[in-house]
Amino acid sequence: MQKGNVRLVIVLAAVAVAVAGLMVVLSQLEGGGSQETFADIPQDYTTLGREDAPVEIQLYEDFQCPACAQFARETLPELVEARVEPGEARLVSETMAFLGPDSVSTARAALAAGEQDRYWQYAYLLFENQGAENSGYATDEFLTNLAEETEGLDVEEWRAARDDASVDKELEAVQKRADAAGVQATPTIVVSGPGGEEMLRGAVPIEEVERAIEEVQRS
Amino acid sequence: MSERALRALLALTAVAGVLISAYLTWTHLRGVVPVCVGGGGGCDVVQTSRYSEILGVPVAALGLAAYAGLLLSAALKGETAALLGLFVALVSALFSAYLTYLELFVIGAICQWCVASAALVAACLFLCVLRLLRTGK
Repeated sequence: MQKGNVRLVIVLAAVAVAVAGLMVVLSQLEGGGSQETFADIPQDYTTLGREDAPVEIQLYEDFQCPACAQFARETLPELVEARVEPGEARLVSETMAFLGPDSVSTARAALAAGEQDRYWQYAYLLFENQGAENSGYATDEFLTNLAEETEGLDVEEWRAARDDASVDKELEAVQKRADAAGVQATPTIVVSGPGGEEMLRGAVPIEEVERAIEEVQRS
Repeated sequence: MSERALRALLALTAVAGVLISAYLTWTHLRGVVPVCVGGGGGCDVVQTSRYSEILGVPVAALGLAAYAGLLLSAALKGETAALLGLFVALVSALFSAYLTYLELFVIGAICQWCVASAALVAACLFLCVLRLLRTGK
């Protein structure tokens, strides 16, 4: 190789390292949404949005389910901003715990946060910090750290609510509702309104949820 | 090995990469779980992790663009094409190494498709270096 070419290859390699480094930095940026997404929107336990909203969106999810995390990151923030915040739809999280022990502990923790109407903020943090399925990542320390990060959550009250029997009853009730609705996997999104009901499966993009909302709005 | 043979090998490797990354891009955009060959189930965890996108662009789509660049480099003759190939392969190999680190030590799950892609990228880099040494003579 000629001397000039060697210099060119060295420059090229340096630029390649810089480009790869930039990509690494960009990949560290957080995904869509934040706890702020849910601020100033009415919350009641696992419901987000106005009670009189004409459309209800039930979100069957498991905190260990990777596709649920993808939906929470890529579709949910836009859906909340476009439909829930203006009062056109309300979201109801149907917390399931069928993937294993970490599903149960994360569900209990989120429902306990729901007792203080901080369910959605806590759920956001759970999905952002989701670990590998049934790896035992949802330790008491992990869940408490997230509780401490949840804006406006009284951690002591949350800790007491986590062991409450009402949480078990809620998990059983959700499982019954899921069975009745024919939910086979998570996430399953059931959109209902004056024009009927639409069921979506998987981490669907916002366009599919919008289409379902428009469908059920027709009376 | 002749430059022609190296380009042919690079093209074959890049086509395999295009197929893998196109499949992963499709599953990501459709929100479906990729079929994880050989079991393990780590593909869905990796593919839906917060690291699966950069500024809203699926990492798999970036991989698709990189393999397309390598394919273009293989299709063209000469030193400029060889340099283009080396540049794309080097960026891809470095980023691929970072993604493998994330899988092993941050996400805690392994996606066989991603491992296959990392191996293909390493092979592309090797072929691109050999090609440049041949064309630069």
